[in-house]
Formats: sequence, C-alpha cells, structure tokens
Amino acid sequence: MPAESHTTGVTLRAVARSNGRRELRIIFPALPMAVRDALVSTLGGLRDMGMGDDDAIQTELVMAEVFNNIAEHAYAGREDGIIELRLLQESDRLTCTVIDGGQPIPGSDLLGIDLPPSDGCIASLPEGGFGWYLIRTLTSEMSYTREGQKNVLRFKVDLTRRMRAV
Amino acid sequence: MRLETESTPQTLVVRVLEDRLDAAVAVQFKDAIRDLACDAPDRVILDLGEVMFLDSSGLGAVIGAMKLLAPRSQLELARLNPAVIKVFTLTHMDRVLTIHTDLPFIPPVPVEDRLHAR
Repeated sequence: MPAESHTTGVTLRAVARSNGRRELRIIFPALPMAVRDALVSTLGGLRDMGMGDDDAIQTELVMAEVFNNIAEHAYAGREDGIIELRLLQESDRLTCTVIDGGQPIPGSDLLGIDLPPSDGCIASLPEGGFGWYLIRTLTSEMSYTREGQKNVLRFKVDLTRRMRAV
Repeated sequence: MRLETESTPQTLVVRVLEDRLDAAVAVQFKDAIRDLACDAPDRVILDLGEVMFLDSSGLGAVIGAMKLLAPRSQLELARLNPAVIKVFTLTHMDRVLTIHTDLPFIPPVPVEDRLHAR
C-alpha cells in the first residue's frame, strides 16, 4: 500500500505508528460504488490485521451507514464529493475520524438514538431512518464538529476480540 | 441487479445473486420486486444465501418489497448470513418478518404442471 482502485478512485494507505498503534487512511468519492470499494478495501485491511468476524461485521456496518449518510445527505445531489476516513487501530478498539466537505449534519440526526416508529402493521413499516440508530448502537464516544467547510465525525468501535499488536 | 426465480403455483423463490444488498443496488432491487409483485403467488421466499452484506438501505428495500407484495403475497426470508441477520436483529425487524435458516421445503410440482408453470 498505498493502493489505488482505478475504477472508482479509492486510495488506501496504511501507516504503521511507532507507539504500538496503526493508522489506516482512505480517501474516496462519495458515490455508491466507490463507497462499496472503500468498505471492501478497509475491511480487507482490518482482517489482515487480525480482526475477527463479529468485529468485522459490526465495523463494516457502521462505516457503511456513516458513508451512505454523507453520500445521500451531506453531498445530496452532488457527484464531486470526497470522503476521508482515518482509522486508528488499538488492540481492542478502533478510533475513527470521518471527514467530508458537504452540508452540515442536522443536530436532530445526531440525537436520533431511537428506532423509527412502527405500529407493527405491514403497510406502515418504516423503510428508512435506521442508519443513525445503527451507528449510535454500534459505536461509542461519538462527537461531531463543523470545522470550516468540513464535517468531522469522530467515534470509537469497541472490539470483542483483540487485534494483533503492531 | 441479478435475481433468479423459481416458481410453483403456490410459491415463488427469489434468489438474490449479489454479494451485497446495499445503497448501490437498493432501488434496483425494489424495482425488480415490483415487476414480480403483480402475479406473485401467496408465498414469496427471498433467498439471501449469496448476500454477505446488507446495510440500512438494503434493509429498507427488503421491507419495501414486503409492502409491495402484501397483502396478496407474504414475503419470507431464507438463508441469512451472519452480517445480514445482525441488521434485522438490531432493528427488531426480525420480529416482523418470517426468517428461515434454510430454504423451506417446497413440495415438488408434477412434471406436467412444471411444463405449464411459467
């Protein structure tokens, strides 16, 4: 690494840190197929570092929800958006920073820790509104700041299985 | 969106031949189900055995498919991989949908009926 996918423009860089931590950095267009490639590359990298199946499932889901929100809402209607992910790997957790240059995240989204309402009747079942619920359920220490023209979302994913030391 | 279907008079099995049911294909999936919905039998089984990853857009599309098929046809899910079942469990949608670990037994159709089935 760095490796670049020529089809969707995903760039992945793994940086070994001297203090026993490792950083993975990935930059990609905020488009559905590029998001897919970014997830596959990132998860491949994390599995190479010894991440277990359950933790990989949880991590991929969180990343997918965060990236899809950016593509669909922050960059709504735009095709030139870029997402940057920085992952700091410690033995039992990942510290994630996701940066984009789109519209600010509405405060109400960040507070949304409830499932969308449902009365159990098929016709009125919700088809959306699960994204932030999943993100909040699967992460800890979530913080959001607007820095200049950028959204910076920070959170941690706690791992059930320790990853290999660097 | 690659789907494969297998039908008997009472049951339609829809097999998703994609390894991801996510934001990139959610709309196509729902459109494909809409095309099948008008002459679907009572029971539609969605075989997700090939799907290794599903996000909230994929979940929304499956719920949307169930709503498109109802009330005439009932949608059931089969062969969910661990990453897929996790999304249904976390969102409590496993309480609303019928989920089978394996593809349920579907009574075989006599050869003659099979020739006229589709």
